[in-house]
Amino acid sequence: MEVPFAELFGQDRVKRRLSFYLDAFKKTSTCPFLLMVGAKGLGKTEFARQFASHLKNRDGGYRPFLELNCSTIRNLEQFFDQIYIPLIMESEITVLFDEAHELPRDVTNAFLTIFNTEKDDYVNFRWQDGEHPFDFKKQTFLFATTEPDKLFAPLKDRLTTIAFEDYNTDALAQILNVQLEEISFDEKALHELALTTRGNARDCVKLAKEVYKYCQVKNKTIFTEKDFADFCFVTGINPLGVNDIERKVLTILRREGQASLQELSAKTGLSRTALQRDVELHLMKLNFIKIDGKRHITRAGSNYIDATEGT
Amino acid sequence: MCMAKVTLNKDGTPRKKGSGRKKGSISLIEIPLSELIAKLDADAVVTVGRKWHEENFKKVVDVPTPVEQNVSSTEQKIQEKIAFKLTKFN
Repeated sequence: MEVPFAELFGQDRVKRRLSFYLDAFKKTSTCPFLLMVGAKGLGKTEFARQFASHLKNRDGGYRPFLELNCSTIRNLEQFFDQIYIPLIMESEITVLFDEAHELPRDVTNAFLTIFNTEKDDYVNFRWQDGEHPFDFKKQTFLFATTEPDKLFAPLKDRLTTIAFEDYNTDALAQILNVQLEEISFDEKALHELALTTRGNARDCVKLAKEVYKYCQVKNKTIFTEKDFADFCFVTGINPLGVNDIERKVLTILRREGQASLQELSAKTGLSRTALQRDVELHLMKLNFIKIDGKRHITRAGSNYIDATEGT
Repeated sequence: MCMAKVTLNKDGTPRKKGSGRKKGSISLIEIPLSELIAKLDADAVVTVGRKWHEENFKKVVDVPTPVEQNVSSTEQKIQEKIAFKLTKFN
């Protein structure tokens, strides 16, 4: 028997919930309107695709899977003309609204009516003198977003949230191993490599390609700790996935003792928002800085700069 | 008594009498275009008179005001394509 999500690593809680909804679908032919929430690169779309690949039609065949990029939907008329009428109406299909926070307001408002299914599995949406039937035994609707706070709250209330977490190091190491089957890894080197991907599965796959190139260039089939150091040196990747801007912020804080966000902005040339969103979050996650109005480097942050100086 | 109009230089001092181009004295000559073509390649830069260039290349033309058609902005937006990907599983 085919085990759902067997090819995907990590996200055990997500797997459990989705497996439950697959089992429920087999009995009821319906599925809640799932909202996949998580940072980019955590596998929302891939899990949605795998989930959809297990949904069967009433005739036993597999349902097609339609991925829509919501940022390209302009209005309800366009949606009905280009998507609903040719692809969804009367079909058995699974639809993923990716980047759902980009849905335009009139589509969102229509969805409030369409996905308000407290009693029935069928909604006949009337719009512009036309009837647009939605049969949730035939059509499954999934949503994904990196920014759930931007999704209209009443719509979010109608959806069932599945939260994706950062991948742990073991899962990332497994992904690397699978991507690079022909290379044998020293356990510590594999662990260090996994740490550079910052919990992100997509980055992990990208990193695997870099490692593959490195091994090809160096004619290696075994990747050791020494190789990891050399790999970091030639590719410019810093241990723990700290990027050059984050490193620069750490260096400034160590030199100055402390700095305000405005001072860091002036010294790095980055906007305050970019610093807060892209730089400080990761450094705080690593416990390299602390913020109490001013920004300070921690002992761990200082040790990191010492250990990686000259690399 | 009528005084001659004094022209000033850029630094504010009066222009020296008799300076400037005499009437009929022009530094441009006329040559056939074929001579230029024979001498220069297609990307060569040629110095031409500004006025001449404006007259020959920057003519102001009447741009007709677009006739407002009975098309709403909503209908125009429909023309934009929604990006999608359809996967079929075996």
